Amino acid sequence: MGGPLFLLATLAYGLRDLVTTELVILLYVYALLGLAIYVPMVLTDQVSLAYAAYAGIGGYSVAVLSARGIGAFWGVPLGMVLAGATAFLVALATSRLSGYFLAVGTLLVAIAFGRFLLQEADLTGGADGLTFAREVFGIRLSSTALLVLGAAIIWLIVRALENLKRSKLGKGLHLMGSSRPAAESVGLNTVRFRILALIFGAAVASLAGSLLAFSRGLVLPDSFHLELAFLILFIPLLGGKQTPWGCLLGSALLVYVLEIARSFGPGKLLYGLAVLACVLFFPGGIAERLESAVSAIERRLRPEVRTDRKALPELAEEIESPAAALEPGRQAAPPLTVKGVSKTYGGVTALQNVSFELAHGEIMGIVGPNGAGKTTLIDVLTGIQAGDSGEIRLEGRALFGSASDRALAGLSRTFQHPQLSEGLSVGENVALGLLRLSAPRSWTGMAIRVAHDLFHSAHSQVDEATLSVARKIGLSGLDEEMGSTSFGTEKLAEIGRALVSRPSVLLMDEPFAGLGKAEINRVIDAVERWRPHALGVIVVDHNIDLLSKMCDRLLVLDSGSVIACGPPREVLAQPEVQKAYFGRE
Amino acid sequence: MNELLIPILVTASLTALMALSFQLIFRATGGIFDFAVGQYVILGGMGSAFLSARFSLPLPIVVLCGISFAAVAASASESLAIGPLSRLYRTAGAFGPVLGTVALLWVWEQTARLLFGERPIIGTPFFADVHFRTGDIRFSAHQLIIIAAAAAVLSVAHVWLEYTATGRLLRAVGDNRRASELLGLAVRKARTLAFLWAGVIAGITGVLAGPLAGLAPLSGVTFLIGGFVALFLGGAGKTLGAAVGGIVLAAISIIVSRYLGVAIKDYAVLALALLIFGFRPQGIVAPMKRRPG
Repeated sequence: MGGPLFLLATLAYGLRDLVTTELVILLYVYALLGLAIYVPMVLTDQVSLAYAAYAGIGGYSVAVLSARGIGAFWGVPLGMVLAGATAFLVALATSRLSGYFLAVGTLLVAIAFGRFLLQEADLTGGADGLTFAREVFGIRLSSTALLVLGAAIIWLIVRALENLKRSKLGKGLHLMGSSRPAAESVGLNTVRFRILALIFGAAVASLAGSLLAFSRGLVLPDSFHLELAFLILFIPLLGGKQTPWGCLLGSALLVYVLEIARSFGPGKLLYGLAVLACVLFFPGGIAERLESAVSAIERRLRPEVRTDRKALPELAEEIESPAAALEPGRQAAPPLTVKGVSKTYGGVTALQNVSFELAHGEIMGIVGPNGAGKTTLIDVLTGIQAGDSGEIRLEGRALFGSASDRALAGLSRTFQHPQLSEGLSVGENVALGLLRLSAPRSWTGMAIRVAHDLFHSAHSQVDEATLSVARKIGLSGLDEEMGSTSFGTEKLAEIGRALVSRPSVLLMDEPFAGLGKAEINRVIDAVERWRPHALGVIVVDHNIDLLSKMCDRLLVLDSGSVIACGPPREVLAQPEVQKAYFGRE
Repeated sequence: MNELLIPILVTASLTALMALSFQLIFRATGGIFDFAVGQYVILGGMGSAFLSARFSLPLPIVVLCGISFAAVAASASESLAIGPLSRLYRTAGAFGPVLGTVALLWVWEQTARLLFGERPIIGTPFFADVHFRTGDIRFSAHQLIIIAAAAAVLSVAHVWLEYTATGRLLRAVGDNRRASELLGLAVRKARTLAFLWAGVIAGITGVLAGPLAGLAPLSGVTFLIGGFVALFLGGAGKTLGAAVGGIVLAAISIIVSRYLGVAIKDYAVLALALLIFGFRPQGIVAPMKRRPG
């Protein structure tokens, strides 16, 4: 509730007189820039330093088109497209590297843009800038009109972002914030979504620049200086990650700092130190700290809030008939066929001609001493690394591409260290697996999906499929927040997330590491219950006793080669296995 | 072309020193790029120029002061911000360290502004009146000193990093911090040393660059970009990659700005950087085994 009220308060303050109007429009420009940064920074953890330049593109587009008699209005979309295209190029070049590369790339964009403004004086007016008439289609834009327009745009963007956050895709993006491999495992192409976030941010920044240009009827190189890029970068940090409304609060703080800095020298230094302190001590932002303090006080005042939670479904309530899950045609090809897969690093052979086939409803354990190639095999199967040669087929179709492509094809996985989104509830985390069924694959599909989710408010309820999976694997407490649950629940929630989309193959990476006996039994039980659903399961673990008990077959790796494969009892009796695994002759 | 040789070598020397400073920190921290490195240059360069202009102190003292400003700033960055950040975030390329180093850039930029003012200051060159001439090439003693100093620093660093026990310690710590801690290696000492030397090298760069053109608080960004791009042009895996990258980048930027204009140079560096990042992030000259990040 605080956000809209604060927006109204600023609007009311802005309507007071001409001076406050100008000030509040500036505040809105910063808030829009903050929102531009919020998406790539908070949702996808990317630091870009070109936002002042993108705002400049928006501002100058308006001024140049107006000066050339084409009409200032068309500068708004033009700027958004130009800024978006620039962001796309930089993002594409740096998308697979660490965050420093994006920062340097965007810094270069900022410098090149600054140079462009001064150099191409015929177009941009050089250091003197450009003045233009504040008119759109012949109608003069008053400051008051711009003020109201600014508030409306902010309201619209914040609402849209909140819609996105509540949507399934938004929750997937949230997961991407805490773990990219996990987001890939539910079928999200994280590289492309990161790029999309940057393009969105650039377009919003350009819009902010256009607003600034209209409010002054003048654009100057200094308005879009590199220093601005640094100052605004920290707005989402001050405002907090929880809600995009924080950006409005953050920019109010910034406007205040800039006012102080004018009269008090070290103002900007203190701002920098505050930001550093933020990064070090409150990674979630100041607003989040305030919020958690407030809710802590609330809890103290009303200790019995949590009693009336939605009643949990009975655990043993319903076991679906196995036949219902068997879709026709699904049994034709084996779930997974691996043929002659090899992988070398430099001179080291990690995998050598590995072949095996997984049958429907089969649970296969993969064991081997440290360094046998288990992790490499998982990586090559899931697409984290490319194999040098060999063929992998999922239900008869060749499996290739990135981790998200393979997840979309029907390969689900769990991680050794559960990778879940702590901010979401257990149920929401499980439901993320459903993304796999609907995750957009193409650029256009992604853009349309994002646009759809921006403008439709989703109701946040745990759906039937999730409830059913949770029941089956014995996962309760779906409303609890993920961060406050036990390790065993985390492991089960990951299994639930993998199963909810009905994959063809489930790959489990060390599912038992760190679990107690009771929890281990719950995991085994959960997997057992899915056997009738024609699901092929691969379990990679160290615990050979457990694997022998739960698996139909064991595959033993040593130095990258398969040295045995078959029913556990037979495999463990083989002398090579004894030698490799137990060090016995 | 001949008359461009000395300017290219001078710029290459300064850029290579920057790249080396980056590389020391990058290696010891296992992937952190301290964006404040350019700011240490400014503290060194502006600091010495400021002392020389304001108090007319003798040049050696001024130079030592400048270098120590940079070294102190670098060490403070590590102990107060980057060290804690890398304990907080396990991966060096994570969001926290990236944003933290950008914040550091801002903090040191503002510090320089407060201490030495906003306007560019030009430092006092070594042997201001001594100039040489061979054929149509004219150059100053100061330019010669820049080239010689860079060559000396790079050679010492090369030997230090590749052939001594401390160099190995630095690389081990950078490769795997946890494992090094478990092995009982002096992680903290190695990192402190790396930052101290990175600061000293940045300070030397500042003191050398100060007299060429005025240094202002925000010009640190130029050094930052030059060093970073040169490092990846040359390859971040080897010490000499910094030198090679510095020479290549300096040659490209000076030739382009001479024949096509300064503006084209900025666009060319942007295009070059994006091409390297997009297609050969492991560097052109000395490939690394792993991709950066």
